[in-house]
Amino acid sequence: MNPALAIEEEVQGTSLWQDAWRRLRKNRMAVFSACVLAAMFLFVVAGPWVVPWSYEQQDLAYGAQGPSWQHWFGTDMHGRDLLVRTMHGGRISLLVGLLATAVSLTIGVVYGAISGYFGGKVDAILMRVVDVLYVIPFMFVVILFLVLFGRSLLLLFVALGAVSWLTMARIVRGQVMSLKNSEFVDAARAAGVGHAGIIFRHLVPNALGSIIVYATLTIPRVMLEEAFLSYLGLGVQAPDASWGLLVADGANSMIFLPHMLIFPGLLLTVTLFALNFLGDGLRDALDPRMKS
Amino acid sequence: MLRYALRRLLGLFPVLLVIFTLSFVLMRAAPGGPFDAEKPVPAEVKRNLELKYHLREPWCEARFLPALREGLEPAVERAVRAEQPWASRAEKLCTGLFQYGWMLANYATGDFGPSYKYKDRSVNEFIAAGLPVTIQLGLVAMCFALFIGLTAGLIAAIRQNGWADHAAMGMALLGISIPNFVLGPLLILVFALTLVWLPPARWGSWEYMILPGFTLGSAYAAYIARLTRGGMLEVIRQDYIRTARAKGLSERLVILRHAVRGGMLPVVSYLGPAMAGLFTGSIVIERIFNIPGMGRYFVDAALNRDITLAMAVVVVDAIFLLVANLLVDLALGLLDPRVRYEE
Amino acid sequence: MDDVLLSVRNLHVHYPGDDGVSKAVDGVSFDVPRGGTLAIVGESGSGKSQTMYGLLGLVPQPPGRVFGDGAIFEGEDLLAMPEKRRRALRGDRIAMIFQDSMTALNPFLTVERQLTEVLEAHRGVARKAARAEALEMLRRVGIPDPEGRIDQYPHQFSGGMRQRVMIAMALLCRPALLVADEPTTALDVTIQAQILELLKTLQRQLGSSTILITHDLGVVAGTADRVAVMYAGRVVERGTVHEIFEAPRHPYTRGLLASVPRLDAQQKEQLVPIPGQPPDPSRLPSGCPFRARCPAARARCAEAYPETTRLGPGREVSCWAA
Repeated sequence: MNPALAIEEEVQGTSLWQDAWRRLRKNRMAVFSACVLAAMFLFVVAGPWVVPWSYEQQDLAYGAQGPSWQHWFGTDMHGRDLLVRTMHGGRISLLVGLLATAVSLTIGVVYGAISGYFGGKVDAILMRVVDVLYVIPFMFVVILFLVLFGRSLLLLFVALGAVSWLTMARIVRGQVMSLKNSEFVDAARAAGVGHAGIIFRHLVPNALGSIIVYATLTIPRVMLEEAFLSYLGLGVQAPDASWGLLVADGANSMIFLPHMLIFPGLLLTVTLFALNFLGDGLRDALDPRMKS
Repeated sequence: MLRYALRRLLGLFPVLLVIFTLSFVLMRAAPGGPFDAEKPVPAEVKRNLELKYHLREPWCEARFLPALREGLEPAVERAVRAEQPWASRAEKLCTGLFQYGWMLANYATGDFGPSYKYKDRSVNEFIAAGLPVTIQLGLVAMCFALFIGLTAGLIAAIRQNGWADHAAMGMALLGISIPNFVLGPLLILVFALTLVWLPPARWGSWEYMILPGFTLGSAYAAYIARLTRGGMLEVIRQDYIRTARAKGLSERLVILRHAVRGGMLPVVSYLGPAMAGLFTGSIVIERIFNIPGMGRYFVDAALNRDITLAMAVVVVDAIFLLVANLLVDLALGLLDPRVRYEE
Repeated sequence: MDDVLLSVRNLHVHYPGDDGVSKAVDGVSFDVPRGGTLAIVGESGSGKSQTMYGLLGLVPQPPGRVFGDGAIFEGEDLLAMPEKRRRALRGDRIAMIFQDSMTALNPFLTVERQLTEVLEAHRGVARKAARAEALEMLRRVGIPDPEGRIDQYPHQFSGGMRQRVMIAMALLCRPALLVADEPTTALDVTIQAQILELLKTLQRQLGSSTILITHDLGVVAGTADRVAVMYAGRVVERGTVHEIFEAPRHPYTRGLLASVPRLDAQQKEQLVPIPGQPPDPSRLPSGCPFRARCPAARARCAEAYPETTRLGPGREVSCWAA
């Protein structure tokens, strides 16, 4: 065969991440959601420095008023500026969401990776525990906990994180199980890497895609749960604020003061929506089979 | 198949025991008791009440107090002599174990004990009053969720990437993102207070069920829509759908007879966790709409430190969940013949 | 020509994508003899199955595009007719059986349902009568105890039995043309022979024609009357089975034949595989797509796709070196 006639094929490799990034960039809604989230982040973090009021500052004589030039979102019953309270509430809601997800991620990944890697009896026992815990009506337990042992922000993080790690553990376990017989694991083992090294330096990074997707979808779920608890009066306490608490106050007075419900409710919904959209976009980017 | 069902049913009891035990431990660990917020009661009455709630066990008193009195620790002796009912840790443990035993026996026979707060009413009364209401609410919500979700999901899958698909999935995402305690008041504002079409609160005939049922079911409708779409898309890619088309069947038959069966599986699997969520969600819904159901009782119980009631709600909820999950598993077995006939 | 059941001219199946158009089928022409068997041979990815999907209307358009000069079947053009008409023909006059019977049959429906629905859809037969016909067909394809098995589910059958069920399903309406897409590839060798024998017998009994899609030349030798060899979405050579086996003109055909073990080969002769890989249908090279792997390639091959040389009735080859 004449080598001059050989067909030149330029093999251009792309890694999984580059492919995923390309797909994500093309998903306009996901990119838009990311921008919205960035804007929201800026709003809650930098906002309070700009607004002349503090979130605790009361003006009882002023009372609850609708939006005005002085108070863009209006004020609440105690005369506190709703704009800055919404910002402050946003900080807390987002913080709780991120931290609780971090807790959930840590527990879930470690638990699932260990269970999936060792398999056999270890896996059977660990998963049985998960199955039992799955059935426990967690919100009830969390509520009981918070009522009986006091309402601290730390307890809130831990409780919320403890509730959501189960599915993460299952996902990570599944991924680890399907990857643990791959060649690169054998190679690492042959090179003398110990169990912990294999799990955390080789297997988990390969499951990172699913982990990221699930984490991005856990954040809104946890934020919703925090809002739920605050709504019941069990989460964040006054004078602190969280979006859930603000919505609770707003719901109580919505007939005459709808702005108290609408503003925090809108911001909470928009943030959750954007997070969910971004999570979906990430999932489509990392696993495009489902799309078309 | 029947044997499988029975085996699973039996497997529920250990789980229930674990849940019961956990709840019990939580209850015992909680600070406070039935008497804290009350005005002081005469000692005799107090003692009787303590016996009633199994907070004091004569056997333990008879055994431990004298044994410790003859004991060796002067500090313990001092505490014991001060006649504090909680002074002796051993007695406490003993009483605790007895209480566990009593309560377990009672629960096994369906007696949830007396309410901590309302001293002359039993927890059973509350449960009997609240459970049917919550179940009704849950059923209505599930009907909304299934009807809206399945339809939207099917349409989205059939018209994939068309405007109907994007609209349906956008609405679904919105449904997941709007918290039900935002949606509820909004719906009340619009439908009950502005356009006075429906009642804003309380429970009664079917008109009362619409707003709360829809609010509760909306998030689940959204999940079901997404799962249906995903499941259907997955199925439509399968070879057997191509075979069905190659046989010349109408598209309607291909979808409704061939695709739907496989596409429904993720939805059926989801029903288990969905029911768990419905119960939890009912807590807030019942609050918003002032519905006298179990969720409402639970929150009030927790806030009032009515621990026996709270505990009973947790256990009843767990029973429902376990049974629901079991039914879902059996349904999956029925729907998927590959599971049914293992050859 | 009266002895041709299906005549396909210049069929294309294209899939536009991000990287350019993927030309799964790039100008395919062939004839199916009445009462005979045409074998379409090629490696996986050569476009054999896509050709049939395109003809039958199983290619989703969008995103795919199916077009050509014509595909005349029983006086009608498959490519020009409305979808409703094509759907009426599918399963009735033209039936298809697929390679993997496990995935091609619906696991959630009984065999009975999957059989009777063909009769219900095309012949308007009531369920009970359809069931009787289905039982008869199951008997004919060699399924023991049809009454006992007809209400079972696909996964309860063995591979060979499932393939027979598929054949039964395809033949219920007595089609004029049966398309068998790799019907024996997923089966054991002994079962393969049985299935091929069954197909031949039924074809004779029904007087139908068959298109047999395969990559296995051994199967071709035993069952086909005519052969079309495909590569990279085109037919590179076609003729009767004798012409192709005894006097192959295209280097690819020669390569395929040389790589098949034969009982009458000399002891010392080596099996010669064809080096390299088939090209990506979305990045077809200029000229002849086979040139990178072709021992007879010359400069002309890179410039333009070879013209089709007609060597006789139904005998064609597309090669500059032939």
